This record gives sequence, C-alpha cells and structure tokens, in this order.
Amino acid sequence: MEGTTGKPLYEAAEKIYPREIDGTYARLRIAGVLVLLGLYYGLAWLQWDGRQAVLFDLPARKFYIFDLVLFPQDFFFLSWLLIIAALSLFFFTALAGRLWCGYACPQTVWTEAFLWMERLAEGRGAARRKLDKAPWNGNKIRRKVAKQALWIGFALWTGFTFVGYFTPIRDLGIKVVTLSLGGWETFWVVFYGFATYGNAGYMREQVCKYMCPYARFQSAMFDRDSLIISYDESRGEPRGSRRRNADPKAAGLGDCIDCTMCVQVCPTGIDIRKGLQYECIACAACIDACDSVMDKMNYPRGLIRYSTQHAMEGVATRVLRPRVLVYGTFLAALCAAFVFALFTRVPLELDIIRDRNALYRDARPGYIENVYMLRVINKDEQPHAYEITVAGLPTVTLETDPAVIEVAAGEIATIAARVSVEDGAVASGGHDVEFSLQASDVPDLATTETNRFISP
Amino acid sequence: MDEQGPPGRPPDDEETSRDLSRCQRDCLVVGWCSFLIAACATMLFFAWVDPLALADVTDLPLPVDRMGGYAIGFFFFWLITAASALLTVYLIRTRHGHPPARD
Repeated sequence: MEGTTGKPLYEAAEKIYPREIDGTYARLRIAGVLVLLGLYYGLAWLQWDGRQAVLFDLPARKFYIFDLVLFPQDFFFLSWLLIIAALSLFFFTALAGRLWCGYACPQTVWTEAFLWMERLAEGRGAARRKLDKAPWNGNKIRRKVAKQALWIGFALWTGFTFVGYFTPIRDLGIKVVTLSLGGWETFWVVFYGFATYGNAGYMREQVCKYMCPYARFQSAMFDRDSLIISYDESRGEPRGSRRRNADPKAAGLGDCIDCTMCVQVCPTGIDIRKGLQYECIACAACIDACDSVMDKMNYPRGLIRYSTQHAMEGVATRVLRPRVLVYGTFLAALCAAFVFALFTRVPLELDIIRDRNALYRDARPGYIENVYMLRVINKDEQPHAYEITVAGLPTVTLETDPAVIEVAAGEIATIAARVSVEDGAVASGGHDVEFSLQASDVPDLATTETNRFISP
Repeated sequence: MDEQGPPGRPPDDEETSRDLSRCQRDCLVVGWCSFLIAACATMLFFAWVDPLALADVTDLPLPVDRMGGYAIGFFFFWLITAASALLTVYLIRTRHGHPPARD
C-alpha cells in the first residue's frame, strides 16, 4: 500500500478505472443501490386490487398509485410533488451536502450496477486496465463479449421495466415472449435501454461533470456548515511515504502517507486532498479507502471524513441556521398542504365544452337553446350515478341525453346537454350559467362548473 | 483551494476540461438540456391535451393511437428545444473575435 511511486497514478485524460473499496460507506451505498434498484425493478410487478399497483397508464390517460387513481386533470398533484422533491433536494443539500449524488442518483445507482457487471466479466481495476491495453486475443474477446452481453441484457431489462410503468407490465411481458411487441413499445424499450447503457456503461462521471444541472447549482445551497467530504490538511500535511513503524513526527511528516488510494478509488478521478471540487459527488469512497490505510498504519481514522468547512477551521458547526430553517419550513408546509389536498380531493370532475358549431339555437318556438358537451370523470374507486342541474339564469332548464348519468369506477362519460331559457328571459349577449353535478348516493360527492350561455 | 476555483463551483475556464473536445461537449450539453426540457414540455402539454383530441382537430396525418401521439409530441418538442439550444451555443461560440475553436 505505502511506498508507491509517490506520483499521482491518475491521468485525467485517461479512462477512469475506479478501484473498488470496502468500508462503511461503500456498504451503505451498495445497500442504497440494492434497495433503489429493487424498488425500480420490483414495484412494476406488484399487483394491487387486481391491477398493477403503480401504473401510469398513458394509453388510457389514467395514473394508478396503489389506491389512488389520478387523471391528467390531477396534474396539479404531480407538479406539487415535483416541487416537494426539488425542495427536499435543496434542504438535504444545505444540511448534508451531495447525499443525493453519492447514494440515490440514478446515474450513481446504475453506474454502480454496471461497474459490478464489468468487474464480474473483466476482473478488478488493475486487471481491467491490463486487459484494455492487451492485444485482442481469445481471452479478451471472451471477457468483452461477456461484459457487453451482461450490459445489453441489463439495459434492455431496464428499458422494458421503464415501459412497464406506462403500459401494464404483465401484458408487455407476454408480448415480449410471444414476439408481438408494438412498434412504439419496442422503440421506447430500446431507447431507454440504450440511454442506460450509454450513461452507466460509458458516460459515467462525465454525466455528473458536463450534463448534470444539479452538480452545477448545488454549490448555491452550500454554506460553511454543510456536510462535505474533506481532507484534514492540518493533520495530513506534509504528506509523504514512510515505513510502517516510522515515527512521522521525527521524520517531519503528517499523517498522509501519500499512497494515493483516495485518488484511485474516486469515480470522478479527483484528488480530494486538493480541497472540495465540484466534480466530487460525495460518494465517500475516499473515506473508506483512507480509513483502511489509517487502520493499517495504526493511525486514527478520519484523515478524510465527513465534516464541514467550519469544523475544519475549528469553528463550531451550526445545524439549525436560517437557510436550513427556511427550506425546512417551506418543505413541511408544502408536504402538509399536499397531504391535505390529497385527502380532501373530490374524486369527481366535470368538464364542459360548448358546441362550437352554433352559438345558440331556437329549436323550439319560444325558447333559446345552447348545446354543451359534458365530460363527467368519476375518479372514485366505486361506480356512481349523478344528477346534474343548472342555475344562474331565469327560467333555465336542462335536458341531458342520457337523463341519468352513470359512470363506472375510474371512467369518463360524455353527455350531450341542452340548456334552454324562455325567449326574452335573458338579455342579449353572454351570461354565466352554473352546472352542478351531484352523486345520488354520496352527499359530499359534488362539483360545480361555470360556462357561458349565449343569447341572441 | 487550488486552481479549481471556489469550493464546489464549476471552473470558468474551458481548458480545465480535458476529457472531451469542446465540440463534443457542446453537442452533449445541447442534446441533453433540450432532452430534459422536451421531457418536461411533453409532460405539461399532454397533461392538458389528449393526443386523440389533437389528431381530430389538425389536418396533419397524426397517428391514431395515443402512444404514437405522445412519442411524436416528445420528438417534436425535442427538435424545437435542440434547435434553440444549438443556435444559442452557436451564437455564443462565434461571438465577434471569438472564432469557434477546433479542438
């Protein structure tokens, strides 16, 4: 370990072969990878009430999330959720730095999986480097083919699962087995699979460096009390190699033995000893590496550790500071509002579309008639019958076809409606007319929509 | 810190990125950013517009199923956003006195 050349082994222009390392944080990350990949690949197959538990049924324009059935009209909830997700990212970044990058980002998670497959086919870091340099022979071809087969298989499975969240995955599976996959389905499986293959197999840290918007603006959320991975310069310097049992003080050396293990394990190929850099995705691989070296040298652990800039400067770290409190308050308020809105949501919607062909009709003598198309969306898990009434104009009456509106669970009914008033009852021009939809069986299940009534 | 600049910030200088050529990086950034925005635009647009209803009111020979509609919508948005991003990068790269680098 110690006594290597002393020069950094890493060349930036070269492909990075991150050396694998075992340790607390590596195990934490692998646990994260397994849980997240398990969720991604497993959740699609989970059944709930006789249907797929999580399904964004795009062909039917209905989104199922366990008991919840959402329609495109509920887009509000999705955008709300995205805002909550973004704010959580800000909150956790201010508090604990780039936790997202190191443990939860799909780029990290799939890269970890692809690295694992690469290791399986081509061996560990040094062996892989050697293999890449070696001339093409039977062994190299066999290993490269094995790696590509694993990668492509896994990528296609990923693409298949992705599409399985948008069209029922069981049907999709049957279609794959019977080779009757539709054109667009095939296209998206291959497209998403290819994106996974390229990003996790080849692009890797380049995605974080050049393509990720978060990597660029995360520093705005940082302050001197945010958790970062840092090298304890005052303890480590001056760095230098030494024999295992040499007294560093006598040799005028700090605790860093300059073994460059922290550089070798870094997936983005940086040297953490140069200070915090934007390429650092806070994966903590260098902490694991350095701790293992410190153990071998019988030095205390933590030469590289999770710390804050304040702590490194000897100033006390404050966890509760305005930035954290503001993010936290907003986050809590948004979450509370979301839960409230979700539970008080009326699972019924009425869309009214005026007949565009005629402003008004005088179909019956003595009456002015406007024609509308009503779309009644039953977002509930139960079928319902609804009554509809109109109000807001003198002598107003309503006729619908059919007269009783029955809508099955999660379905949409389209109904023609004629609203008429007596001739001369309303002034010439447009007037507001109010449609009220009421479920016959549930008193609370009601909604009101306003539209325009045009009179000659 | 060192030549990398302030902590956690990307370097201002293009030359510190040695792994990909500038043109390659520009293409990646254009493709990727426009992809992200196109995905958001597709989501927003089709939250309110049913591709079937859209096919009814346009003269274009749009596909009759929703999946086809979503896909065409996505690629249409991607094309638009990519064109905009490409033009932006081109104009920034060819500012007066800054001919595009061929590295």
